[in-house]
This record gives sequence, C-alpha cells and structure tokens, in this order.
Amino acid sequence: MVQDVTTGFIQRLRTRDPQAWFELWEIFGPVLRAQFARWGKGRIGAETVQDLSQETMTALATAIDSHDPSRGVRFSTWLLAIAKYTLTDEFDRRMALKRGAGKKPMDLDHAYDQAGDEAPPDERYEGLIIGAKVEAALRSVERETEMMDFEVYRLRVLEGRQGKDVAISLGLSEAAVSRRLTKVRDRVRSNLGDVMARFSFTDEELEEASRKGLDANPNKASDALFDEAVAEVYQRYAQFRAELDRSTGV
Amino acid sequence: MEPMSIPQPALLMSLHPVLAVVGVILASILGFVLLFWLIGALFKGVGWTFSMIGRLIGHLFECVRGIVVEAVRAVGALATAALLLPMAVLNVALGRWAASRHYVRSSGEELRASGASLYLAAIGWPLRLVGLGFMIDGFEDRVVDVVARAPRAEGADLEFEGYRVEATLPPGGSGAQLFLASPTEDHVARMAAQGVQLPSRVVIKAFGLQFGSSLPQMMRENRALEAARNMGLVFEHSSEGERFYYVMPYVPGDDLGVVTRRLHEDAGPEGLEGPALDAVVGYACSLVQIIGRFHEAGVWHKDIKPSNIVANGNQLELIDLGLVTPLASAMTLTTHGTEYYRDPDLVRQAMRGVKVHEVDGVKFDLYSAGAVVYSMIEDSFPAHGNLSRFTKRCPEALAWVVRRAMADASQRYGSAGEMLTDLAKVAAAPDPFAVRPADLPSMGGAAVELDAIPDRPLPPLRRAPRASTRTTPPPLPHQRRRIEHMERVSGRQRRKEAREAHRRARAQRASERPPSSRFAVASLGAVMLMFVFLGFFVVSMSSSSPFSEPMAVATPAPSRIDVSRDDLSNRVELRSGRSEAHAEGALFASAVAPGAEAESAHGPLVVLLTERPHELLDDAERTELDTVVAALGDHLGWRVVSESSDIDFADVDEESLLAEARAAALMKSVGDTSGEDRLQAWIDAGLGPDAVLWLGFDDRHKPTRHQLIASDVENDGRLVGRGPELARLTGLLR
Repeated sequence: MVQDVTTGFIQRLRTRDPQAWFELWEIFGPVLRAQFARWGKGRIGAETVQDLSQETMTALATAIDSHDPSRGVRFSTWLLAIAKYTLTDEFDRRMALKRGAGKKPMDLDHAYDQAGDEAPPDERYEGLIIGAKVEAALRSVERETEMMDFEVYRLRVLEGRQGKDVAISLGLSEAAVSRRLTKVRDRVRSNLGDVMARFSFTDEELEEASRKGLDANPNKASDALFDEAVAEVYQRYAQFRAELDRSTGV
Repeated sequence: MEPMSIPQPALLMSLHPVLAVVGVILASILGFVLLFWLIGALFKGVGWTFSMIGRLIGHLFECVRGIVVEAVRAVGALATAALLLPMAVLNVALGRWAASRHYVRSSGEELRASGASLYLAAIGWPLRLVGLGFMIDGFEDRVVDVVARAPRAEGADLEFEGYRVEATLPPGGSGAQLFLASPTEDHVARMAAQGVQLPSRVVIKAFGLQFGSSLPQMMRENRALEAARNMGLVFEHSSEGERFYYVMPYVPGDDLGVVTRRLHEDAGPEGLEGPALDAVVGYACSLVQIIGRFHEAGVWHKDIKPSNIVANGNQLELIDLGLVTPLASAMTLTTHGTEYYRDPDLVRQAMRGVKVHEVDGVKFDLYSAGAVVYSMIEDSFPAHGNLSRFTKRCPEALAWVVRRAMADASQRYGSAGEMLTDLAKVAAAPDPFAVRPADLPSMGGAAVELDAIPDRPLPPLRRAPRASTRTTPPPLPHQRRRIEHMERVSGRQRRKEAREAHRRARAQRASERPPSSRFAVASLGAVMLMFVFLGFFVVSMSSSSPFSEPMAVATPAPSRIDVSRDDLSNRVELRSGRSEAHAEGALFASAVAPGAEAESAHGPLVVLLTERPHELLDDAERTELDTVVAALGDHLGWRVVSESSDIDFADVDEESLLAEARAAALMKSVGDTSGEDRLQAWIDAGLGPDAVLWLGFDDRHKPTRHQLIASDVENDGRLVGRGPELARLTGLLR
C-alpha cells in the first residue's frame, strides 16, 4: 500500500513543483552519482557522473507521470531502474533520433516494467538510499531546531562525545545537554518517519527503518539504540560519499 | 689421603634418569621448534624472494605496457592531427573560418596530446621502471597547466587610453577579456589629480562584441561598477563604441585553493596545526573583513569560493566581480554561484522567483565564507552542506564558527562583523585548540580587539602543489553538458577519462610504494635533470605550437583572475551570428554547422520547445513540428533550435540549449505562468536564446497552442518583440 505522504509527494512532483524536485535532487542526487561511479568502475569521470545523474532526474520527470503504485516496486528499485535506463540508453537514444536511423530508443515504461523482475539492488546501494534518507531527516531537523540544540545532538550522537565534554565545550549543564538531546532526538524520530514514508513505495520498504533500529515509535530503553543506529547510518553514508569523491577525483 | 667422597642423596639418584629423559624431550622440542622456525623462515624468505621477483616482473610489464600504450597513443594522436589539418585547409579554401579554426584547434589538441604521450613513453615510464617515477609524477600536467596560465602576448596590440597592454591573461567564461597593463606616466598624474592612485600594474577587464560579450552580461557587470569604484576595487571605467572596460588592481599571488593544498601537503593527513593553522585562521579573518567591506558598500559578492580568492602574503583579495549584486536590487534572484559554496537556500528562493531585495544577500555571502573556511581546514569542499564532518584536526571553536556561518539563515551570523568577532577570538588565542565554543563572543565570551591578533608569519612551505589534485567542485550543469558533449564528439572524453583513471591508479600505486632511497636519487640527479629538461622541452614545444592554443572550456585550470562561472560568450556567438570570437566563443561557433551558420547569420535565435519531449510526440505531431520549423525559418528568418531540426551531430550546444529550456520550463504546460516566468528569466539573464517558442498540440495534433517568450533586451539591433512577430507567428501556426 502506498503511503499518503508518498502519494502527496508524487503529486507535487507530477505538478512540477520546483521545491519537490529540488528536494528529490538534493537527497538522492548523491546516491545516483555514487551508483553511476560504481557502475563506471573508475572509468567514468566526475563530470560524466554528474551529467548522468542530471539526465536521470529528467527521465524521472517523465516516469513520474506514469508511475503506478500497484506495481509494488520499491522506491529504491524504481530509482535504480531509471538510473540504469539513463545510463544504457540516453545517449544512444538521442543520437538515433537525431540521425533518424540506428537503434530504436528504449521505452522508459518498458525499463520501468522490468524493474520488478530484475535482481534486487545490492546492500551497498540500499545502504546509500537509507543513508540519504537519514541525512535528509537530519538536515530538516538542523533547519528546524535551534543551533545549540542541534550542536548538542551533533556532538553527542553523531560525533559520539561524552555528555560531560559536550556540556563543558558549549558552556551548558549536563542536565541541559540531556534535555536538548531528548528534544532533538524526538524531532529526528519524527522527521525520519516522514522522510521514510515519503520515499517508500511499499510497506516492506517502509518497515526497513525499524529493521535498521530507526524505529519511529520507540520506548525509553531504545533511545541509545536509536542514537547508535542514526550515527552508524550517517557515518557510513558520509564514508560512502567520501569514497565516491575520491574515486571520481572530484 | 683419599679424598672424601660425598654421598649423593638417594632422591636425586632416583630422579636422574627422569631428568635425563625430560632434558632430552625438552631439547627435542626446542630442536623441532628451531627446525620449524628455520624452515618457516626459509619458506618465508623464498616466498618473499618470489614475491619480489613477481613484483619486479609485474612492474616491468606494467612499465613496458605503459611505454607501448603511450607510444601507440602518440602515434594515434599524430595521425588524427594529420587527418584534421587538411580539413582545416579545405575549410579555409571554402571561406569557412569558424570551421577551419575548429579543426586547427583540434589538431593542436591532438599534437599536444601526442607530445605528452611521447614524453611519457620516452621519459616518464622508463624513469618509473627504475623507481624514479615519483620525481616527475604529474610533471606533464603541471607544465601544461603552467604554460596555459602564462600571460600571452597576443593582446598587446590592443589599445586602452592611458595604458600599455603587456599581456593577455587567460579569459574566464564571462564573455570578457583580461589584460595585464601598466598605466602611462601622464595617466598616473591625471588620475592622481582626481585622487586615484594607480599602481604600476593593473588588470583591464574588457567587454566588447569583438570579444564575444553580451549586452546582458555587460549590464550585469555595470550594475555593480559604481559600488566597486567606491570600494577601490575599480579605478576607472570607460565605454568606447562597442567596447566597455574597467581597470582593476593587479593582485599577484596564488588562489586560495592552491595555497590550501600546499599547507595540507606539508601538514600531512591529520590536518593543520601550528603556523599553518594560524595562517588559515588569519585568512578566514581577512576574508570576512573583505566581505564586510562589500556589504558596507551595499553589495554582495555572490560567488565566494577558493578560486576567486587570491592570497597575497598574509592578506587575501577577493576577485571576480561578475556576480556582484546590489543588496537592494529589484532584480529576480538567480541561482548563479558555485555548488557546495552556495547556500542551497539561495537555490530554493531563486526557484520561488523572489527578488534580490527580498532575501538577505549578506547571509548568503557568509554561508560561502563558512564553506571556504571549511575547505581550508579539510582541503575539500563541504559536500554535505552544514552536515559535513570535520575529519581533520580543527579547533572546536573554529568548527563552531563554520557551523554557525553555514547554519539555517535564521540562525546564521547576522553580519560579517559578528563572524569576524568570533574569528578574532580564535586568532588571538595562543592555542586555538584551547578555545571552547562557549568562549566565543557570540556565545557570551569576552571579545578581543582586532589589533590583538598577532601578526604571525606564514609557515614555510616545503613542496610545490601537485597540479593533479582538485579541490574545486565540478563545473555548473550547463557548462558540464557542453564540455561533455564536445568531448564526446571529439573522442576526447574517453581519452580524458581513461587518463584520469590511469593517473588515479598511478597515484594509488605511488602511495603504496615505499619511498626510494634518497642516495640513489642524489647519485642519479644529474641524469634525471637532463631527462626532465628534455621532457620540458618536448612538452613546451608541443604547447607552444601555433596549433595548440588551449580550449579554455575543456581544460579548466586554477587561475589567479578567474571568471570561470558563466559561459555566455559561447551563446553570444550564435546570437550575434559573427564568426570572429575569442577562444570560448570560437568553441561554440565551431560546433555550429558551417552551412547553417552562413545561411542564418542574421535572424534571432529561437528555441522551439514542445510541451512534451520529442520522443513522446506521435508521427502526425512530428510532421507538424517539422513544418513549423521550416516555416519559421523561411517566413520569419528565425534560426530555430528544435529537436525536430535536422541538426548535424556536431551541434551539441543546441542540445544543451534545448535541455536548459526544458529544465527552465519544468515540464509545465503552455501558458503556465511559473514556467513562463522561469523561461523569461533564463532568456533575460543572457544565458539562453533570444526567444523561446513554446508549443502545445491540440487533440487534432495541430500546434495551435503556443506562446512566444522573447528577450526584452535589444541584441545587436535585432529586437524580438511580442507584437508584430507574435501576430505573424500566430498567422503561420494557423
């Protein structure tokens, strides 16, 4: 079943809401770049990777109109199918059209149909997708909360520093650190739930967050586990991105 | 007397055989252990020997393969150059100057590539074979880079009243030419009488139709000129006929990206500390002071990034005034700027179509300043915005300043002065690592006077920067598309990527190899120097060839005076229909089919954008579209760029125009106001064509729905208005 939030977001994309498109690009552009760099195995330069990821977004603009939730394809698989379609077909298609001869362009719908039949994306790609979602949630929380609150969260959770150190560094009491941490954690939970719902096409995909320890409805005892899970996903994603930068020579 | 025998204890006597047996067992075990150890060591030694032999053989094969590949590549490039030259001659004979220049330039590129490959085959790989490759690692790139950035003499015949032009500096992409000049004595005296002290050397930034500039670009530069004059960034400006120029101080030094790389190469992977860190904090203070001066003058820079900052001793200078915008401007906010150094919120606001005076430009500049400080600490750009991690050594107070500068606009520093106060606290501290965020003035800590910042000398740098290291972000999307398409057409892309991959692999291998003996280096130093000079000679010869003028777009290089943001000049070439242009303009002109250029040199350039992409149109609609394109050309004299046009494959820039038009329209329907506004902004910004004809088909597959979005700016005497043109167009489409 497609979530209401997802449907709403897709509707915004269909109406060509620039904010929605920018959000999609901001969150998943790096994932696309990483995937293209992996497919290229070091033979595709940074500029080509960037170009292909932009072409993918253009293809998405077309695909979003014919998106049918009843097909039961995961969001991540859908995105990957479009990216693959872009990589294998985009330039051949353009050249064939210009010359009026040669290879017929691959049908985007056909590529989309095939998405469900192909082997599921590997763990690394799924790791990138979940990392992008966590980063999107963190970014939105960073925008919505006070800077001091988020810095407490950043130092305590994302950088793993002790509460006492954080308190000394920022000139707060330990109790204040704890309070601010709780406040931001709740917001991260809430926003993460929103992001997950927005970019999940299937229930199974939606439940993935819980499987990774990013449950939106935790109990008190799971706070530490939730923090740990967020930090781990975020760090791993940052590491993926850094490797991408290195491998593509950006 | 018999010696007295000492009776052995009975217990010891009874244990004697046991001890003997234990001793034998222990000795046996020890012997076996020793034996196994010796056998192990022997095998290890044999394994190591075989491994070394294997490595040596692998190294030998790798080097031999490298020599063969580079030799073949050199021959291939020479053959390509030889093929292209007759085409250049043929085009000269046909009077197709733009096409001939294109072929000459391509030949030059091939010759240069051939020279570099020859150098690698003859010197680079043989040196690597004997383990001395690190001496010349990246040499071929560094030399080419230096040669490309050197001032050239071919602008010296141009005249600017009161100035002697000494050389031409590498042009950026803003449609301007840059000249290094010195003022005449009379002019110095004249300007001094007006209260302006001219230095001995200046930079003249000139716009003109002969340089491929566009009116919108010139207007944009002009808008900020008075403010720049008041700030002392511009000495004077002048308009002469079709030419417009202004005079700026010449700032010697390297750009901040280069300086940062040097600091980090000396500091190692852990990051900066000591004098290097002090220098970075000092640079940060200097940068924020300069930004503050811009804001006080009522303008914001809008494109602050390391390559636009020149380090001159302890001080920084901010160059490239191309995007400087009055804070109170009534213009629509544009997304210009450089990714990673530009606040993402600026893009969001620009996409909403807000005006400049409705946003706080000061805060956008401060975001960029934070990003620049981050890049100095990390030697990399902030890929995750404000979520970017500090992976290298950084005082936490300085990290806090960066975080606050890059925070959401509502929580960001309100002014450059506020940010400077915090930076000054870190700069004045004897140990920056001891300063806590809580100690910063913005957090309630005591402020320090700027005078309290000690004047620390720059750290001595031990090594020159490696030209192959890149910290600047990739080009903007529209630049990327053009570069990529051009390179794909010429096959250069594949070669470039293959070389990039090869260079990376080589760098990786080099980092894994143990450093060679300095003694061996010293003993062979003289021989090496000879080889290096020989290599320099080969590369220089190929670079200084009359055919090897570098393609500025295809080979971006850090420049002291870098205006590499826009590529308007490329567009201008097609807009004005002229064939004479500088390097970048010629690049675009060369992409236009010569025949089409000759036939349609005078009509306005119009992008015909269909509501749905061409591949989604049915056959009837495509036929209709072809008819419309032909009619527009025949009856209105327009030069139409459309997906239905019979464009030669070389017309890659037209593809870019179409892609940008489609992106600007955001796939909206014809008549949608937001799409129209975005297209209008795109055209008016001078980034696109003279007009966009937006076409939609009805149920009968007829192109009855249409909208003409035209430039309001007169361009070279051809005004594409909405009135009579639209009426004729409507008549045609019926």
